[in-house]
Amino acid sequence: MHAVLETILPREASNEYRGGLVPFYGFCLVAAVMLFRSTVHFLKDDSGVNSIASIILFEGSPDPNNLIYLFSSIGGVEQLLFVMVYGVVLWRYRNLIPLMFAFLVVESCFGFVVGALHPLDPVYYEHTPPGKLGAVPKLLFAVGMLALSVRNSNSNRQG
Amino acid sequence: MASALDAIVPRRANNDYRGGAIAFYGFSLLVAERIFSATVHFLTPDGGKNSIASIIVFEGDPDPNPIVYMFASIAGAHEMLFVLLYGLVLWRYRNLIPLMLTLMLVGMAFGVVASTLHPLTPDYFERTPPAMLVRVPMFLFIGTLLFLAVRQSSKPRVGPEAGPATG
Repeated sequence: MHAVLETILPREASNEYRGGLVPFYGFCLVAAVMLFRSTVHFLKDDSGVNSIASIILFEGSPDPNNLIYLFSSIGGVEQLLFVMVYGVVLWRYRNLIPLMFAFLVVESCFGFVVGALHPLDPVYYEHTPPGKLGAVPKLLFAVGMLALSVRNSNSNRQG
Repeated sequence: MASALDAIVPRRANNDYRGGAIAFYGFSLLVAERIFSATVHFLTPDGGKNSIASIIVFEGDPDPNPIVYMFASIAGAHEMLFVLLYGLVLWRYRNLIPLMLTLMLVGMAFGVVASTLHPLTPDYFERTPPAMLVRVPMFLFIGTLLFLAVRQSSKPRVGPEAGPATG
């Protein structure tokens, strides 16, 4: 248990990465997907809410859609900042890649909490949003990559 | 410039913090504020949008408010991830405090971009939301902390006090 903790949270973060190639490239893939997702949420005129998530347009004065786009865009800002953290990890602190997968696991769990607190009734969208479809695969991928990177790091340290 | 970059993104991240006490306690204060903000946005039923930001309650069928609350909660979940990251930095990697302050500043600048892309007229709220009121003072506060942290970290260490320093 202590070794697992030391792998996820090493005392010193550096580029001495021992987690193996698969988690490394898996992490690059995650960073690329997150970069796309955060850019869409942050910068697209409807923040991807209507055009990608297929959430319906609301009527009213003042226009509720504008507020929805704003909060989705603010969510995109937070996501883009985390992509920057991923970038810094890839540049300087690759032995924190297992920690980044742990964050991805936590992010997925937080997504389930949001879904439980604010359930999205099918009346609100035309087809199931990609974020909802990908929630479970994302969690499984993150757990798998985390397990693999921790196992590789521990066996490389002992070897 | 190279030493400023090394102060923000040191080659090895650990608890060898040299940014000075003011930046350290200032960052701790910001983390406390972020814990509150993230918890409200993530976990309260309205994401703090009606009760704190005084955004009006919309009418319509289907009701648009749950979607507003859901997106506020998603943003709050990501804020909470940053709170966890800040906690780890305070525990294990204190020499990354300047990097965290930089991310906070970038986040504020991006927030201005988001609100420029989707501007809200006064019709949307009853009084100016707290986040809009404190935006400029907060930017100056974080900018000052970052300046202090980088300046202190960039100073060469000489003499007997050159050992590891925290806090």
